[in-house]
Amino acid sequence: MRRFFVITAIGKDRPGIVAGVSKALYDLGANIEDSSMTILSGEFAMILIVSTKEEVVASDFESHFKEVTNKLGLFISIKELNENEIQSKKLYSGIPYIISVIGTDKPGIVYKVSELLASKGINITDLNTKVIPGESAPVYTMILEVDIPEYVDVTLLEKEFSIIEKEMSIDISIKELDVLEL
Amino acid sequence: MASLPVLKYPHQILRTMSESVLKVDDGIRRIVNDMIETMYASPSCVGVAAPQVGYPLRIFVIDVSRKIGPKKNHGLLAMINPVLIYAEGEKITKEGCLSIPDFLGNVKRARNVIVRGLNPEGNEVEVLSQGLEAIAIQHEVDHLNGVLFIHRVSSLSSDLVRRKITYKDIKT
Repeated sequence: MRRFFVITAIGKDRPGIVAGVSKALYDLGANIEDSSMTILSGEFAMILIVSTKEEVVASDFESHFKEVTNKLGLFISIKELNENEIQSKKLYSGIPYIISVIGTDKPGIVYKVSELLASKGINITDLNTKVIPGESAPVYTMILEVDIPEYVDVTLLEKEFSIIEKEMSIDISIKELDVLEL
Repeated sequence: MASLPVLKYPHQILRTMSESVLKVDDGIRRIVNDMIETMYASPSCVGVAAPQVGYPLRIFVIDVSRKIGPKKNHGLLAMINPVLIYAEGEKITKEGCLSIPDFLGNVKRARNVIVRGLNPEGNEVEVLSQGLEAIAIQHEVDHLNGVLFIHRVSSLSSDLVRRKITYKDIKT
């Protein structure tokens, strides 16, 4: 039996964060099962799923992380995943689509788009946003990857997007994700 | 015909240069047929290279009509000793590979290619291919040279998309 934990670490970006965190995990005998990292405005963030031997408990991480938290000023959270969470099958499925949104920056773009998706049971699997310079005002771009369940009418979804387009003066396009399996 | 098990990384054959086929005979045609059956046995698979099913030989089978319908492709295409003789343009496609399950990555390849090789009857053929079929051809020719798509992922930022995996998979 192995235990599973989800760990997040956030701090000012600088060389050595990944090395520091992974060394602490290595010393603890923890195995990194999955990870994702990103930088926003100079803040580095990582989320990791790790597995350990049965005798390891959450407090063991804290003592091992002491050095990196002090040296690198990281905020670290550790949560154990229970048996149910680990065993759970994928909860949402569907056909992968990519949705591109672009428009003059204003509050509510993410909310309006994601609210419509949520109301239809469409799961967001990846989301990337960026504000870019525009002619007169900043332009907001958002790329989403979503799984659209079979029961969702995509033509209808496009019509509903066009309502948001008018309301928010933004452009939304949706297309099936080209995935070649070879 | 028989559907064959697909070798997964780090099987050694996947990283080796495959040998040219010296003579297209019934033995080779049997391998081609098994590769076709293996491809069709996997619901979303549109191409298989011989090393993926354990034969370090320069053979691939492709059928992108399974994904995009009959337009802009040749349907089932089986080729022996394929050589890319022309490539132009650029296209980024999200690729996956039966030999590296659970990973998708954006790869930049030529948009149009001409490939020359032998068909299963042993006759020389030249195929002009575009779009997803051209991408598939390049992915399979890479396999014949021991190259995996993961080494061709062009930029990291959200390129490598995790497929939905369950922790059950991790545990076993």
